[in-house]
Amino acid sequence: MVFLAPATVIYSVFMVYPLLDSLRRSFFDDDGNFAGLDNYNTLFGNPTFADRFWDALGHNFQFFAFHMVLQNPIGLLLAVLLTVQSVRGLNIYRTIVFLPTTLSVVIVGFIWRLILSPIWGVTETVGIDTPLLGESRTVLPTLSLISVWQWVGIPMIFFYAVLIAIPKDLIEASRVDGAGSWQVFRDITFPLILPMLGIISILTYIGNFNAFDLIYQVKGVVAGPDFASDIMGTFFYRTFFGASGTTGSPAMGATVASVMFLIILAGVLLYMFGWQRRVTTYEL
Amino acid sequence: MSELRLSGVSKVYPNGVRAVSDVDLNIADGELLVLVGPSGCGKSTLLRMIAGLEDVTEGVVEIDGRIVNAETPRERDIAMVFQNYALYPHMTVRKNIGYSLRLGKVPRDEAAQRIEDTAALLELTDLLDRKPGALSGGQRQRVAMGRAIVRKPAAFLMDEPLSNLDARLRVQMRAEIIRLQRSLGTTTVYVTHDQVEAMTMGSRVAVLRDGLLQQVESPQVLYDHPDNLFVAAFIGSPSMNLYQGRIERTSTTARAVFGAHSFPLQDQWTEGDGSGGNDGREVIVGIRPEWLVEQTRDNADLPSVRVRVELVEALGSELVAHTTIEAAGAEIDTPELAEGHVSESSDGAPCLARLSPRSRVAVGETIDLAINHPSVHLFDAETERALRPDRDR
Repeated sequence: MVFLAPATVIYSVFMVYPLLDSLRRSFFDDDGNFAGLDNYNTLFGNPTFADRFWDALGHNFQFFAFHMVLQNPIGLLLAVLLTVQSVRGLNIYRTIVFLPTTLSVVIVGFIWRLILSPIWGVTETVGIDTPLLGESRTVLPTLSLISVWQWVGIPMIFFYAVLIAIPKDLIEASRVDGAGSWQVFRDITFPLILPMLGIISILTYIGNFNAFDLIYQVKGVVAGPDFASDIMGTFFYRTFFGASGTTGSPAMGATVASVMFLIILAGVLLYMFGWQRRVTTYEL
Repeated sequence: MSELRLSGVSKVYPNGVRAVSDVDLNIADGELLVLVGPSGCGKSTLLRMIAGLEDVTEGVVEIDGRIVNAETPRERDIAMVFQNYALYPHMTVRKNIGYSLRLGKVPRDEAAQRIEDTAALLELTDLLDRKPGALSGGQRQRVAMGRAIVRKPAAFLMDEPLSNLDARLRVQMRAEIIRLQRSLGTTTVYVTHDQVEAMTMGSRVAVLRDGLLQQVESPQVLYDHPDNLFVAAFIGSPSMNLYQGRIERTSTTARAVFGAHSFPLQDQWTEGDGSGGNDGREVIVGIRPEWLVEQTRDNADLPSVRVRVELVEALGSELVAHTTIEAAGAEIDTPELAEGHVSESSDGAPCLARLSPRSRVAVGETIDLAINHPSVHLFDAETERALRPDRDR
């Protein structure tokens, strides 16, 4: 108890209290008067808010889908490749793949803006004449891919840690039992890394729905063009602080934040009760 | 049912380490051959080369006359039992045993029947739906056996399968493996570092040291006629007492002299061309602890050694006396063989004797022990090869 107290106090003051206070504020107007569900009615009923909200939420799910379909499988693939003993310089590859993760988002965004610049970027040399970050159709996939590029080292390291913990005996036993490489992966390796897949998925989900910095850095708070790269984070920022002429509303901001909190909470609960209880972690 | 044949098999790792050198070994159909040696002698590597888990650097591995060097484990049709059992933790016992059948596309009904039969044979029927995590060590061991048996493979390869069990269970499983192997009649290669296991299980035992095959013989021949110093010291527990000595001959007698003691050699050593080639030859004299008995009036005519008792271990069925003898011990550079010896004291070399439990030897006493055996083992001090009167006199 005594030893837990400092951490509990700090956590309460800086995490629990702001969260609860933000929830509380979503039920009050900007002047501090109790407003009931008015803010929520505005968010979901008033087209100026609702259209942006549903757009941002949709974009956010697309953003998440890109990470689930690309970042995590690629991370797993890289991790599997890293466990191949016969390749030389594995440590170097590991470091290189992990390197972008250690870079600041500001730098990553800047680098990719330069690379993808339609004026003198590399896109033209490889035959892409679309300004990838400038068109509504391509901006969200492009930003998603940049984020995937930056963060792929995280699932890779997580998967790698689990993979190297699988005893070699197990793999050899299955090979003697008659399994080829694919069958070893399907029947032995994959079931054993399944718990980690769940953990990585939920971390991706939380990270993606809290994402803000990359979009902010590359496209600014208006998340252009035409809000095509708007996600929950940027939508919240505009609502709370205001942007390009509009004034912000702390009450509405708190409301958006509360809805974001509920979305993430729903995902976490789904993970805990829908996944974690069914997938067993085995002692190796 | 198969015959395994290894010809000139070697394993050299990329870093230049030579784990196995030029091993020739034939394992007959239905035979249980034990590969034994101290840890790091290359026995596991040899087994893994037969399994196809390790590339063969030189030489040929044949199964039933078919060269399998380039074949993957799945093509070789051999089953392996691992030291840590290597059960798939996420599969039930049923699926663990049946995994190879599933991969081999055995029809579902037949597979189910074979799993049931195997489980019945190993008394695992009640455990079929459990996962390995819920099994005891002995049960896991049996599942690992079941996984091998269910395939009806060409051969079983067992890599120290009993070393993770407690002593009582080990003895029990040892008997069970022998029984199973006999009744199934499957060719088996069994790897162990435990010479007791090797002696009790193998119809033939192959002793390996530093990747070199030392001797392949039945357990009794290995014990009675070790080819070299290493085999002599490795086989038998407690291990053989070994002393530096030399052969002294006259025209009518020959004796092996070690320290202050000597042992008369058989007539053969004195016969021959009279060149006296062995006179003064440096040898190592080997005396098994079980040959030594307390000297009494009845055996006063036997050659004897005088020893000082340092420690007595009463084991109930016998009494192991750790003593020192006035002689120079012979060194063998294998650390495991040093186990159980009293560290060399100031005067003399250690000498172990397995005496009758009724012996009344006391610590600190100096006693005479008779060598109740018609001969002693003699090894060339240089080559460490066994000297035989018929060829080395």
